[in-house]
Amino acid sequence: MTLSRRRFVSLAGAAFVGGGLALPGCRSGSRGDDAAGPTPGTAGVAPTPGLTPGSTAEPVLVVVQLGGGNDGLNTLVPTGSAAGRYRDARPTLAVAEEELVPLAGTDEYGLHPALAPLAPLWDAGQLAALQAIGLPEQSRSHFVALDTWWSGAPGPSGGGGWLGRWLDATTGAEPDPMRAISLAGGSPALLGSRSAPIVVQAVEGFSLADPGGRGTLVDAFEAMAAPPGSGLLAEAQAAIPVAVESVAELQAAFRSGEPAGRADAPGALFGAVADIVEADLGTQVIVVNLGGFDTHANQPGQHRALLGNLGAGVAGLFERLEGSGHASRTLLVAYSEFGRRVAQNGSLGTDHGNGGLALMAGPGLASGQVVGELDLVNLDRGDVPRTVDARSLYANALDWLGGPTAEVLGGDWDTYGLLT
Amino acid sequence: MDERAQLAWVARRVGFGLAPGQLDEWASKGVDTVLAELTDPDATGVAAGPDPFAELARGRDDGSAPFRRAVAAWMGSVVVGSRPLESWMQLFWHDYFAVSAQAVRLPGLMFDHFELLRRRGLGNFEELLRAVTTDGAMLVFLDGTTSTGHSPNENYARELLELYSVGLGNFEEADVQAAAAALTGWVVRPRFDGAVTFVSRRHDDTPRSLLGVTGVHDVDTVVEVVARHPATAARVTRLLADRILGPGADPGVVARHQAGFAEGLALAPLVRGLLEDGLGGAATEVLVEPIPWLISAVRALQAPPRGRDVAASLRATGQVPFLPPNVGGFPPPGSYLSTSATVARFNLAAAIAEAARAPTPARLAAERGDTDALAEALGLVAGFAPATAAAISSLDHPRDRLAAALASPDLIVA
Repeated sequence: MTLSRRRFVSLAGAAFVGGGLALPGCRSGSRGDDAAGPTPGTAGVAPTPGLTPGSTAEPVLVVVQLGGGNDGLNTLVPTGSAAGRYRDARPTLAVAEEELVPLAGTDEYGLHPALAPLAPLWDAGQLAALQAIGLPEQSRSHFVALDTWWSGAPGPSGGGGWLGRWLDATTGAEPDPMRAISLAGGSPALLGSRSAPIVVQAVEGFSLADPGGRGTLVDAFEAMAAPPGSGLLAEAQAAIPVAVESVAELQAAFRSGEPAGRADAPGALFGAVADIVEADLGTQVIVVNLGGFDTHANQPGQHRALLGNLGAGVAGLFERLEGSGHASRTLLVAYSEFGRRVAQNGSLGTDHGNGGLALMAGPGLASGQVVGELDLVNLDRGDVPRTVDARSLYANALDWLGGPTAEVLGGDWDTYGLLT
Repeated sequence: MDERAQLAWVARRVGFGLAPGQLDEWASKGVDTVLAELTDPDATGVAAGPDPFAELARGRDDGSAPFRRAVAAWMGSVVVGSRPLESWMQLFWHDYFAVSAQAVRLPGLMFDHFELLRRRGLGNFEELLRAVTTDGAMLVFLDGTTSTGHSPNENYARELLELYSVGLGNFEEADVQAAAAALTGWVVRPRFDGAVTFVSRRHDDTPRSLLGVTGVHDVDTVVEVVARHPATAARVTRLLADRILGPGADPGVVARHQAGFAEGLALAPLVRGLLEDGLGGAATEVLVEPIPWLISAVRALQAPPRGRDVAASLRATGQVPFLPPNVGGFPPPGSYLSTSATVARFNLAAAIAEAARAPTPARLAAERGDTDALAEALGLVAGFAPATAAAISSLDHPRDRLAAALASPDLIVA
């Protein structure tokens, strides 16, 4: 009765390699009439002829988490007063001046060439940067820094994530899980006392199998959730109806988008963001996890590819949302848990640092501008000293969502006039 | 707990569940013998399986196919293997050291790394840490291979202190720099099958102070200092206790094990002691993560899932062998209650049920509609929760009953 090792390897190998048989069909995204009916926010509102098609619904915040510690200095590269020290510290790692994408109106910075797709956004006044950004006590540890950024408060997080607190503060009596969606992994930033996001690890496979076309298995799966048990069983039960319902809502949205190769590829992720925004499912916060920015060695090629994904993804997202009339309600912010050491190391890379770089994009910005001072004279243990608090970025994001900003962030933070 | 319940608990918690007939076999041996065989398979004469990666190409590949094959090969070796705890510890250390094939492009290095985690995973922690520190895959993953005395790379040194030994709060930035300098000189040669060599001219041999100990200058002195620091024994014990006894375990029990483990850093007695305390009532609930859940399901049904969606489904759970998402390892167990992981579990359960051909006790019970027997065949000797049993019974088709049982919330709580 035991299965031979070889047989398992050959069968499963084929499956894992992707050459096996297809599963017997997938259940349709529309489960009954609910998913096909009008969605909140657009119910009864017919597009007005002559006006931009799209939604009159709530603002949307897209948060791009650049995991690993993005090298801000090689992303928005100093060309002015700080350029000399930058090039001295990075004799073989500095981005060549002639390669940089110039930014109209400033002599202080140029963009890494891989971010060239973002130049039109800058020219249209729809791209801004926050330089030397960070939080007190964020540390050079990925995990402490991430925790600090997630919570939006220095020290260990206790009160959930900054977006989770916003969700808690603005949610109705019955929390709607569709309000927040995290792509390519979860995000503790979204955890609140009453709120948990939908996590879509990969768009591919985000559907429920319907073996034999019998259509009964999903119903039985949902029926396992009630009556609730206790402890971890109750949590595992509670996850089931949320999963089934979110698949029903999101699957149709994802199918409407561009076909997109490997599902967790960056292009597909930004495509999924556009799908979600355009589907108008009541989603207000979308987190996108882009990893791989921990460039300790052989940085130039890797960083170019990483920024290329980011630049193409963000530009493509706004291009698509412009076409569908949803750009004006969308603000994107991108940040990383820390910047990297000013001086390059011996591996043609950079070690963990302090002050980093955040980007904001969207038609809601007042103008193309860089705020915050980059001080490469008075380094902090070899790192960029922070001159902008991350909560200034968060304050802009929360203002965009309609607040309550000060309540969520525990005070008022300078928003630098970044939004109109 | 009666003895069968005890053995089923061991199997579900640290043994990738139960193969058909295994519970009867274990019950005939008794708990003591089973624990001895699990924690010390060499001394008790339990046969080791063949090298699961022996037939796979070790050289550089343009795509990820060798790693996907390796995932299947490794999981297959666990399904048919007779040293489940050794494999469970291998997976524990894979989470702990979290080397990713995405960064280590040379498959052979990754295979050797996995084999190292298996071979030393129940041995002495200091020896394990020493071996991992100059392991080819790790030297590539955290950049030791490019770190020189002239310009040390801090990547491995920082994670050695923060993740692999004493943990946050027990070291300073100066310790990171001292360890980074002392660890320089170890080089991976990709053109020679990833052979690791020590190049003394790339090494900084200057004696430095690390964690308050002076004279640290090379890999042996670094590993000795960090491994024998009391915070390291405490940290390793706590992480293992979180998995074996559950995160809610009595801190007093854990502290006792920490003191014992600190004596000689022997892993097998620590694991056995934690298991014995668990059997004695010290355990609290844990979540079963996707990889152990999948292997358990395949073992019970003797049915590898088929279909091109399997790779996507496993990726959708967020837990794929060889691909931990970052240096911190796989996400915490609670994250596998996410939407994506729940959907992926459902889809994999359906795929395994479709692929089940062998007349296993689980499949026969599903055909009879006997939910109690189905639960026991999956290691749930106390049966399903009432809602689960009712939902399974509501299904007409045996494969649906089997799929529902595999996807049930009951099966991801141990």
